[in-house]
Amino acid sequence: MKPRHILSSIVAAAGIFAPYLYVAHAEPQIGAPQVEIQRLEEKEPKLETLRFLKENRDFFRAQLDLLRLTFGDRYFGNGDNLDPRSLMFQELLAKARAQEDSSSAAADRDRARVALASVTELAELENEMARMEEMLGEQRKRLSLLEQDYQGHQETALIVLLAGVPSTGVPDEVVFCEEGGDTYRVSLTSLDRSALAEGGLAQLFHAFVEPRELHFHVSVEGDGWNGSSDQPVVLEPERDRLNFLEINLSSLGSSPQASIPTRTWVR
Amino acid sequence: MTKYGRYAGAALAVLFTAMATARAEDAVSARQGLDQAFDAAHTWAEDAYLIYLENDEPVASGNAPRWGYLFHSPARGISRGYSIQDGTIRVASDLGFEFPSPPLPSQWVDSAEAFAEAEKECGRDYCQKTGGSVAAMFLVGGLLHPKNPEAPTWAIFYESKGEPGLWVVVDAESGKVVRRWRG
Repeated sequence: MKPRHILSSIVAAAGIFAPYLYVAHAEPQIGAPQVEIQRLEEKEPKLETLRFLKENRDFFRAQLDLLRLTFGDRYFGNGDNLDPRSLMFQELLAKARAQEDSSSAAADRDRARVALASVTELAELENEMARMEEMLGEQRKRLSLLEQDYQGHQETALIVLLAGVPSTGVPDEVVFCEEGGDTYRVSLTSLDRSALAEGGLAQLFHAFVEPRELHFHVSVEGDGWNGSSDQPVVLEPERDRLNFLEINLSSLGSSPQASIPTRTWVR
Repeated sequence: MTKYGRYAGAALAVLFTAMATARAEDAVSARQGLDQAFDAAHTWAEDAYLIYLENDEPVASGNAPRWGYLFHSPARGISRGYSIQDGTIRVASDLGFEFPSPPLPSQWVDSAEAFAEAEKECGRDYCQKTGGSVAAMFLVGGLLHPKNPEAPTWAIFYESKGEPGLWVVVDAESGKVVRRWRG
């Protein structure tokens, strides 16, 4: 670009932005409309999931209808679905009982063997012991299955704690909502308020959570807090652990752009 | 092309190869993320059970970097999906439409095994003849099994430009191909 063109571009840009530059330095005027500027939270592009199912839902519905026509409603009735685990437990129990019977029979045979007289019968005893070992091995496998089932239980929990007192005083309620999920509205009790005033903590929330990145929006309500803007809080709880999130309100209200400091730890 | 152009081209080729290799190394079988998906689903609804899963990223040798798991809760009356990559739940969202598929049992052959069987049976041959590739693979209960509505099945769908696609259905309990069709 030639220097002359650059100069003309600068002049044109100055002309376009001049009114805004003036406004930026102007004193607020009485009666002028108030404009609130909020920072937009940057969001990552959404990932697609189960795309094939969504794109071919008609095909899947047709297959479901066909299944219903062919085999009747026994798979789609009003009865509750059986937990597959209960079937597995029954199967394990039946196998364990069958083995118990086998081992009882073996014990009877052992008693009869008190009168063993020949060496050839000792070989039979060894075979019996090998069978017992095999049964123990199978019992171990069943225990391992039960252990796997137990380990599958969800233990990822989150406790949200509140700390600090804002310059305008303790709010009446704290609202935090999960993006695309539930909204929790917690009223602060007098005990919570006095604990916060003395530098302590107040517990807002304690529940199991999905072990994934969680996006919360935190806001406060109460006298002098109407219209306070949401503050985004992002947290990635550690799986099968007790996760703590501390929200510190002390800087809230000091300036419109002030963000809420947070702290996380795990037990 | 100038000397620098050739260098840049070679560097880009190396970069893309490295990216593709890293992608393949990140790929895992469907069962890898199952435990985590169950954890999340049972937080959402205690009665949730798995009804469907599919690859959320391109699949190679039955492994994919990201898998989607769909659970249904009779108590809530809806289904919810979890997309898991590198041991992290990347997406958690409700399905948005009814999909009353039967529950999947806990025992099923993993995606790599089912894929290998489909490839051996007819998938590899189809790809060689038509230049096609795998478009999707999913695990679902009963819908596609020709005889047993309780049997879970893996379905591997191959597609090719200008040719009808190929569906290969693998019994997820026995690991054997039980059905295939073009379309």
